[in-house]
Amino acid sequence: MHEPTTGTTDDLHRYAPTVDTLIVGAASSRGVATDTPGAGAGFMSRRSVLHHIGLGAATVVVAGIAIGSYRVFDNGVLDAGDGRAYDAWANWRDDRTLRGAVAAAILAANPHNTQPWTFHVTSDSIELFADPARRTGTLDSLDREQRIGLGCALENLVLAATARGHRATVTLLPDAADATHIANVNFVDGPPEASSLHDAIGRRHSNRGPYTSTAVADDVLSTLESVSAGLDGVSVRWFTTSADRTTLGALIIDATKAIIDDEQQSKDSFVWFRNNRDDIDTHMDGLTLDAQGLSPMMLAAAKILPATSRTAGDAFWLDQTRTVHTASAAAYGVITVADPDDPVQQLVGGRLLQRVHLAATVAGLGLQHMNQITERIDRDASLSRPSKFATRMDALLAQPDRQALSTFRIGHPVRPGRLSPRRPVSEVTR
Amino acid sequence: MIRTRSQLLTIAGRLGALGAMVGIAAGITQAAIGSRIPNWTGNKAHPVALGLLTVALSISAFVAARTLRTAPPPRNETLTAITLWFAVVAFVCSTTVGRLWAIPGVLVLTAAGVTLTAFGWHHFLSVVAKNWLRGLLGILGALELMMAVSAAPTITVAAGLVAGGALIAAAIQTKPGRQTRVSLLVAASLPFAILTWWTIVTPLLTVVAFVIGVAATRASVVTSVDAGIAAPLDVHSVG
Repeated sequence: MHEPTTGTTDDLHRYAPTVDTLIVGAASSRGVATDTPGAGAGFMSRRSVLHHIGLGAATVVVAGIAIGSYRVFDNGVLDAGDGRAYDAWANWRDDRTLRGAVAAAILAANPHNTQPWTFHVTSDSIELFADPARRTGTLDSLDREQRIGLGCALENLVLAATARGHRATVTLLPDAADATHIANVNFVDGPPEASSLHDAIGRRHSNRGPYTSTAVADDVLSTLESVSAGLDGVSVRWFTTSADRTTLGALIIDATKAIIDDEQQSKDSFVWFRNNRDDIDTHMDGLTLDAQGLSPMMLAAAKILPATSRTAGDAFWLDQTRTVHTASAAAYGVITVADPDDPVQQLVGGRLLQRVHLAATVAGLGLQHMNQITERIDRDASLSRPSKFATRMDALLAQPDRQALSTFRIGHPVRPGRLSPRRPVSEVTR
Repeated sequence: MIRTRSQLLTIAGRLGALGAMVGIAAGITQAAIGSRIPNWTGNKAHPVALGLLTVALSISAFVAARTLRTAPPPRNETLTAITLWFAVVAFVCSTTVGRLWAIPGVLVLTAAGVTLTAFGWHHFLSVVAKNWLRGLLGILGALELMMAVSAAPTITVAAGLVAGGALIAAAIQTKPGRQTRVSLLVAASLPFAILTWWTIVTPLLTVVAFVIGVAATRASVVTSVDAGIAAPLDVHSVG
């Protein structure tokens, strides 16, 4: 079907294979005529063979680079923290209205970056609701972490509204018939009051990377502790000595193992892990490789290589907990309350946790939330069985009237924390 | 019944041009409202940049399609380049605008197939084999461009675009006696490799590009001498 039936002689000349086009490569043209016995019978010379091997090797290498390059392109290796899923971190100050305060609220710390909130904005109030679809299942059996995260969002909301000239009055759990109705925040006009905590909202990130061996100064810890002013019934307890850190670190490692061994908890955790850029752009939530505190080269390799399985991810998490998180913690902080199962204390504890994290950000410290112990305590409670983790934690606290609500580590970070994805305000307001 | 190459090339040109025009529309749609129709546009993090890239590639496909219909018909080398470029555009754009590329993708790929049919597999393979190293260099340049459009911040994007463009230019410029120029062009990919060193891929790509670039120029020189052809005429270069 390729035979030309019309056309000029010139056309035929153009399409006819020339001597030149039949020469596949320099070596083959030379080899046939010279250095190979029997070349005239169609044998390839040594040089020609080497030439083709070289071409083949180059092709294989380029094919490998092509696969790697596609992974770089497809998995966001070169644009971590950029794009729609991260716009909230750049735009949170833009809207000076009450709705703009929601833009600050959604940047709060929250469990597994589930962003378990919905906001109803009116002209002089904002109602905060829990989103029951955004739970972490058995990992947060009693919804403790969800309420702490909602408390964190509430704190950012109040800080942002105050900075915008709205004085806030907070009513927690205003509707006894609706457990998802977390808070009503009513506003009256007042003078705009900026604060260092407010300014730190866009810079606060959980830092899961290594911290240096430099201790956190006592006066810095005192400053972090002082932010609890005005929040009744909640306080921070520091663990700074080597012995205390070793004991608490061992408890965290044991709790991590217990979570991994509990298949359902492991699965419920893994559901919120976003393994690739498409998932991040689609869901704009969850835990990501970017936020794991890895070195740049390790992070790139993790993104370029195929996604890991749940069990491999668990093993990596345990290893990081042992060799990085607990090994480099300069100090641990524990938010304590009288009754960690009381929803109001959980919400107020969340507000304190957010303030501490913002204050740590102002001080240039890294902070990572490490709630494995309380996740195991609540898991045991939900199964109506005694918890060895509750016993060990109570012994460590040694305060009969106080219990642990939430745990974190702080220190001077080796590298800055990275952004986590956020759903836009439009998706969380009604 | 279609019997002539020129008729086939005309059809390929029309298909390619139509696909390119629909592709331009798809790119504009992605750039303008891509974030509002994520199910159609692939839910991309950078819809504007990817939309503009699609427009640029579609325009290049349109130019290629128009070239098919010039008189006299293009040389085999040009037809090979056009066939491969249609395939590259079809592949790359399938990752930039989601489902919007379904129709233009089919049209452009069909244009590639018809072009190939028009001048024959054996000619295609002959040209490809003769320019294998240069093709690899061009592919490396295209890979740099692909990575560049997904990068941030702007300085990295710019460095990546320069790097990709330089490698493609090096692939085109691989003529006998042009080793210095090729080396300089490959060197233009260094800033991108340095800015993105932690990826491992970009530094490796630059090293491999340099090796292939040098090898390609040497192969061209040897081939020309063996064929008894003076370098300035250089019938081995892609038209």
